[in-house]
Amino acid sequence: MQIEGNTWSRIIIYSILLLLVVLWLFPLAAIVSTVTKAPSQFDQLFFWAVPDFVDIPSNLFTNFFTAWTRAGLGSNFVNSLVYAIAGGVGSAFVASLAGFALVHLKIRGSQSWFMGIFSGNLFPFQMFLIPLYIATSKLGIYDTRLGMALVYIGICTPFALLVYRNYALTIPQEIMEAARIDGCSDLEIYWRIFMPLTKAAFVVVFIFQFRWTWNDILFGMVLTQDVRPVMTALAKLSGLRAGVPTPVIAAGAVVASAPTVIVLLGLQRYFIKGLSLQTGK
Amino acid sequence: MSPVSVAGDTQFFTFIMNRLRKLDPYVFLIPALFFVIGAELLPAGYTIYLSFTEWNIITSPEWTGLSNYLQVFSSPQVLNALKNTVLWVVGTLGFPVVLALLLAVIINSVKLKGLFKSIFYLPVTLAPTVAGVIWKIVYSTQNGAVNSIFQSIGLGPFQMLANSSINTFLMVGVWAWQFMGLNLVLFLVGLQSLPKAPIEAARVDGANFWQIFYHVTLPLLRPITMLVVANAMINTTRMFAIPWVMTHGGPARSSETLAISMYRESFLLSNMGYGSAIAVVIAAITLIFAWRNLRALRPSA
Repeated sequence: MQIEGNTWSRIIIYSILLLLVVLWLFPLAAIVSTVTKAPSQFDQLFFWAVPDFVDIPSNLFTNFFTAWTRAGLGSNFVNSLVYAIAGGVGSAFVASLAGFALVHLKIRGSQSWFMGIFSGNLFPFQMFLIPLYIATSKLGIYDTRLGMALVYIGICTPFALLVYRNYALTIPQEIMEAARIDGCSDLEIYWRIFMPLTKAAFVVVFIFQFRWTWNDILFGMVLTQDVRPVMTALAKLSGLRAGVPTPVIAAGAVVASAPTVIVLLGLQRYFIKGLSLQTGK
Repeated sequence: MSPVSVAGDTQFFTFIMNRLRKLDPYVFLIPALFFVIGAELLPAGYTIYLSFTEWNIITSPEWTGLSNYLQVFSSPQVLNALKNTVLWVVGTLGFPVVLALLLAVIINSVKLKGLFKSIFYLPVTLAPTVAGVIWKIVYSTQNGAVNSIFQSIGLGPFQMLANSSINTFLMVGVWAWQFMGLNLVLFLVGLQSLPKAPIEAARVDGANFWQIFYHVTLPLLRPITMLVVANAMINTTRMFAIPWVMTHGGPARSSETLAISMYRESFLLSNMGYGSAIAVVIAAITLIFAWRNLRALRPSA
């Protein structure tokens, strides 16, 4: 569809577009303006003033270095990497096993099993927080990486199963039947045939759950003290009234964003595919 | 290692392999069931139970029936949080969805499609926490990105996030900024998969841009609009990160959402039963919104 109206409607449309582009880039410009200043400069200069170009590299380095080491975001970053990979890979494996069985093995009432497992997705996270806090404490995995990884895999599993099941439905049953006649066991069919054929589902699940786990702040707040994920730590950093200078917080925000920006821009195609798999169409 | 034990190991190994070969199909479901029951279904059930009790986590829970729910719906703080949550949902439906739809139609028809798409999609790749941190700098009273501009022309500085009559609106704006791009991309996918024939036909009949948009494009985009709307409602009802990062629900609990009230009551004030009741209220609202989506999952639909 082309815009074919008169010149006026063209002008209006392009001005709306331009206005929105400016509005959308404004906060990002604000971050650039903040992170390129040394904390002392930030306090003294006008917000939109540009510091001397020769100072910018050392300002950037100091801000990022301070955020990573003295503000402690480095270790939180590593924690989040562990959680996000565990959440992504773990839930993809758990869901692939279940998805394979529900679609390609003879399971009675497979639709009900699916709805039962998927029902976990219906509840907001607020419904899990108190019991998980108590359970992890009782089991001795409160504030441990293991506890967090297990919780994240659990939270990620229902959606992962939805993706796997919808994807598995597109694979012809005959391929599995042929392998079974050749004497393959269910486990061999799963590993040698189903998994290679559903690689795309694996990637979709991984991206979604990596992103979700990386971005989580709530479970980190409730279930950790020392092994905090990066978003929980960043929120805490920016909440301190005094102490942490704004340029260092801005540097922390940039560092914390790097992995998801890279993953999402690089694999955008799969991300959109995953969204459309939600509708099952 | 003696030969005997090697033989034993081999026997054990074949035994295991034979068991695995004849694995019951239901065994494949065990990991998923373990995680979902352990991390979600049992906790959800326990939260429902706790919502009928009074519990400060030290003593044991005491059954109080519906009193938490009565308290929820008579507490000015929670009612204010409910009002704010409704504002979040309405704001989310109005602004980012309508804007994304219009913008998708516009971008689909101009040059540099890819560039515009990327600009609006960029905030989607950020975490809500990061969006909150960024916009806190933008809205800051002291040397903030907006106030410094006002001050350079002799106005302000204005209190923004500290002003309880506008802070929720300002934060809904952040959320709109953050996820409008996602709706936009979904609508663009929808637009590109639309059948060309009806649009061509309308054009041949002399319809203009807006007429085509309103009478042809919009009805054709209905299914994807439903998905976008349902997602927006479900995700916004449990909004926590942005208001938590930007205001902690303050000043004086003025910008709390239900999710923040739940966190505050449970983990800062140790009212576990009361916090659970708020969680159940959030779940109930979400379930109402999710109902349509849920029915779409049935095989016949």
